[in-house]
Amino acid sequence: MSTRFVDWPGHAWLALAARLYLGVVFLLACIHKIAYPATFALDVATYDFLPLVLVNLFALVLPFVELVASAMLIVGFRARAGALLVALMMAAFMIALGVALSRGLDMSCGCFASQGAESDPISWLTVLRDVAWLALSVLVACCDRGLLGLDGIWKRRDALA
Amino acid sequence: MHDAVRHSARAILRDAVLAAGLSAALALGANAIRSNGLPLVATTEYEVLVPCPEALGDVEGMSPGDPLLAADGTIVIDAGSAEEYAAWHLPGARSVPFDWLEPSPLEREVVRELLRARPQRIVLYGDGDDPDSGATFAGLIAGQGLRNVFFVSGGRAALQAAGGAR
Repeated sequence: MSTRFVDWPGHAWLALAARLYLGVVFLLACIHKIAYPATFALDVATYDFLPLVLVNLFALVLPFVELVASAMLIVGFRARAGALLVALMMAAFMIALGVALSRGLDMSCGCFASQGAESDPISWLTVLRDVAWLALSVLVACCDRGLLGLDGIWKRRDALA
Repeated sequence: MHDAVRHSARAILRDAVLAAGLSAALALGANAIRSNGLPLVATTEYEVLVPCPEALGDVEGMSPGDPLLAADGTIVIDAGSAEEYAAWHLPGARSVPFDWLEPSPLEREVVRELLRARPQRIVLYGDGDDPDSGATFAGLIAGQGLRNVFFVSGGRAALQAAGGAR
């Protein structure tokens, strides 16, 4: 990626919008999972993707990674690292979804709240949505300049000092 | 410039690892103090029930008096139990009892055999209930890529009423 492309001022504003959007999305995504860990563990087990010994650990830790990443994105503290975490989660979700879909599993996504397969089914549209969020997180990781965030405030303060 | 990018990438990676570590510590801490915490390692299998879509193909109903039932190139299958078949069956029909609980091995075997006979059409009749075992069996066979699979609407009772002879 050329430096001129990354340095285009418009990218900073696009990255700000993407940062706040992803922050809110992941904040909403983690609430139900943190409140009902056993239900989320069942969702994870339903994907039949992880060995049994890792299901609970994954179900416990992932929502807090989402929480911390969303907080980093919303307040703009180490936002690019938060975006990297989101990108990694998206990549993992896309692999799990792809495997489940290719095996023909007719199940709930479990992405936001645990719902039945009828009201929240997985589909290739779910994968497409994750691709869009992955693209937004890459935009933030590459182009965030700390607008309206703690990173920007500290950067300006350091520049003045 | 490259050094700056590399330095920046390294800092982002370091921050991400630290944030992931903090998240894991928060998660384990919160799980330890909450009353409904999970065991860190699951020891018993989760009982998950995932409905896998059955490979059902398109099948058409056929009236009990349809002349195609007796036409050349038609294979007729009686999906009822062996006892039902012994009690009454359409002349020339083969007995392939349909098992609602575990139809897969049987249906694969049947399809293999049917393909060897190179039929023009396959007609099944079952109990005629709702759901009809004949229609379901026909759908499963058609779902394996066979065309011209039919079922007799109303099943065995409709055929008997229409005057099918033993």
